[in-house]
Amino acid sequence: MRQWWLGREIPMAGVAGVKVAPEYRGKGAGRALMTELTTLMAGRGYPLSALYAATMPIYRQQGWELAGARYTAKFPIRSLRGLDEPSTDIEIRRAGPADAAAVIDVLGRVHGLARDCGPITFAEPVVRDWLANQDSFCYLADDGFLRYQWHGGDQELYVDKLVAASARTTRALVSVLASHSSVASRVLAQVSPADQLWWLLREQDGDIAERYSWMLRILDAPAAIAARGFPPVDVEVPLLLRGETTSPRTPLVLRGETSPRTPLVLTDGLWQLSVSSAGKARLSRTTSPALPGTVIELGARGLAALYAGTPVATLRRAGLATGGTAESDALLDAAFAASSFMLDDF
Amino acid sequence: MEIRALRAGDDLAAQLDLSERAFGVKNASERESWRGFMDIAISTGAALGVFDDGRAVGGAVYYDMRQWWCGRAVPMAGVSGVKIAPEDRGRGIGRRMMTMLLDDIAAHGYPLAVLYPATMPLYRSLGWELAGGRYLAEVPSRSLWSLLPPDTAIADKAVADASAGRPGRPELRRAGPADAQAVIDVIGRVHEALRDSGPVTWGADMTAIHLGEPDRYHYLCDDGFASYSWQDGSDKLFVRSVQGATAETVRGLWSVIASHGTMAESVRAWTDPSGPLWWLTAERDPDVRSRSMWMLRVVDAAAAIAARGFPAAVSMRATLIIDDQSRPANSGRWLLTVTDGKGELTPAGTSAGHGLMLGARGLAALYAGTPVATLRQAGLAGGAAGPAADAALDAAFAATPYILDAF
Repeated sequence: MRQWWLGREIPMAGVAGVKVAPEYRGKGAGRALMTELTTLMAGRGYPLSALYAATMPIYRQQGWELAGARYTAKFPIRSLRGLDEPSTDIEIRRAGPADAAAVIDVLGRVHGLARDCGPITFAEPVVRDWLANQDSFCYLADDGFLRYQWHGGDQELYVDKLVAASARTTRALVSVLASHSSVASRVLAQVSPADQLWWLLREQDGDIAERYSWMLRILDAPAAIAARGFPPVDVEVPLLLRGETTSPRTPLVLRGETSPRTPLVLTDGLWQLSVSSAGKARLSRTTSPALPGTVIELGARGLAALYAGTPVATLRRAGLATGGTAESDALLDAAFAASSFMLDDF
Repeated sequence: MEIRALRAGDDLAAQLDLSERAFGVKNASERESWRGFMDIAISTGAALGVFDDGRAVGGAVYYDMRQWWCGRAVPMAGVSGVKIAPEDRGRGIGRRMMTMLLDDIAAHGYPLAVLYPATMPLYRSLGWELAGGRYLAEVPSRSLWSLLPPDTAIADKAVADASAGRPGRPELRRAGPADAQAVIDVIGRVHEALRDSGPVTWGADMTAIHLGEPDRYHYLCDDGFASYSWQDGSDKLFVRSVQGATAETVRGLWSVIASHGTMAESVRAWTDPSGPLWWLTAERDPDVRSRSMWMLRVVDAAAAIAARGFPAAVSMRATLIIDDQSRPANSGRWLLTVTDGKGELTPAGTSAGHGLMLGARGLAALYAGTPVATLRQAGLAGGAAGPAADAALDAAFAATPYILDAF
């Protein structure tokens, strides 16, 4: 997958379907499996990995932490009436499997322009599959995309993508949904917490009704920082990163794979985070002596949550960060500020 | 039709009747609190009444509050109880009353005004816009019984102590009406230290009323405060506030809440959407039950920018072209300068080049941290400022504002 972080896309390994037979649970199989999987993903060069957790302790042990959420909003479909602008000069067409590349391109452009943090795009074969799915309806415009399906019989529409880069396209896509108000009565929609929808609806007759959190693992900290977009701020902060909990053990040998995999990048030690006003950042090793306690100290979990925009004050109060100063907290918050979300489940 | 400030001696029973017809019937203790709040609003000239031939047909009040924006307190008028008699609705009374209320708020020097809308078109037409939320979380109370120990990867003595099961418990004491100023001071210090955006504190007289409500329990310590009550008999606990500056205090306050898990099956809490609660439970049990959005009016743009905190890391300049129909003093070409954690809005010459075009609504949403991309998509911002300028504005105003109060 590709995950968007403030306007830039980063290769991300989306973990799904983690399972152990019920009769083998509690014997360490899951932990061993995740250790190997983590090593494998890191070895293939993914700086980031994300997952939706059924249970969290196993992932936390391995450096994952809660990072963002998938938000579901619920509102009456009639609220969408009158927002629609069935404008003749916006071309909306049905999208099918042949449009996979175009859909990925539009999603990427929208998330990039919006400087979104968290949303993902799938690889082309996956997108081709879901565009072929007969149960969901897909519409594509030059700078927008809509995907929805019936839900709960004909009473609800479930919208998992309503994204657009312009007000006019947003309204044109909304008009497709609003046309269903003849039959459906409610809309469930995956949204960004700062979705334009809130500012377009005439009344506040529905809002976020569910938040499903996802976890993030930074597999390669310097690469993940270098690839992420940052706001145009000048920030220099030393970070003391503590211990990878996942150490590479006997590597798993996959059929057909010959190139040796590199182990996890060891992050233990003192680093310097430098963010430039060009909106880019670098994480480099430093040896400059610092006074004890003046440098913020993070484990893999704290680093993952920080990366996704969790305020440092929250990390401290949750026991995920220590050391450092109020000044460096403020600098880190400005650099990573985000309300991370996703519009996909996996 | 007469719209005027309510005076001591006006018929409060008629105002209570309007309030109950508009928002629902209050019980005895709610009526008593309502009278206390009305007395305060009337004594400060912050309650308006509408009379038709002597008959009360509408009313609205505002309360003197402070709202924290990136850790700095900004005077804010909390608008509440906006009501028109059902039989007199649709006659334009609400609009005339709110126009007068906004003028009055401006005349008293409030840079900001906030309200929870029952309906939005009226407030939008006067320059209010959706700005932040009140997030209601729900968590099974047993999930709070053993909070997650601090991360063992970071070797701090306090962390080691806590993970050994001995978290330093803050010295908690029960708080009552006499502690109003202490509660305001503690909450203010917490918001300042955390650089919070959105939360509010009330004046001491109003806080004393809250602290005196018979069905609420309050605990205070040096750097934290908790307030909660039973809900649905003893099935649920409703938490209005758990706020603390340190890990020990947050854990200590939640452990008081958790102790009620012997009776209450679940805990509902107004909470910071990116606060520590989400990271303190072993499993993904806390969930957002609802989000109620509130609206903000930037009444005095220059004063609101000057009073707000900004991230110290941000150094930027941008031209804002504001068109504010109902507060024309905000209109014009402005140069926004943010540096060293402070902002300034100064009149810009006509040669200032391209800028971001905003109405009062766009300005309010921007002030509250709504991404400029969202404003553009929603039709609340325009003009060719360019992607770099948009990114700089996002960095300056970045916030996910929340409030832990209802009014």
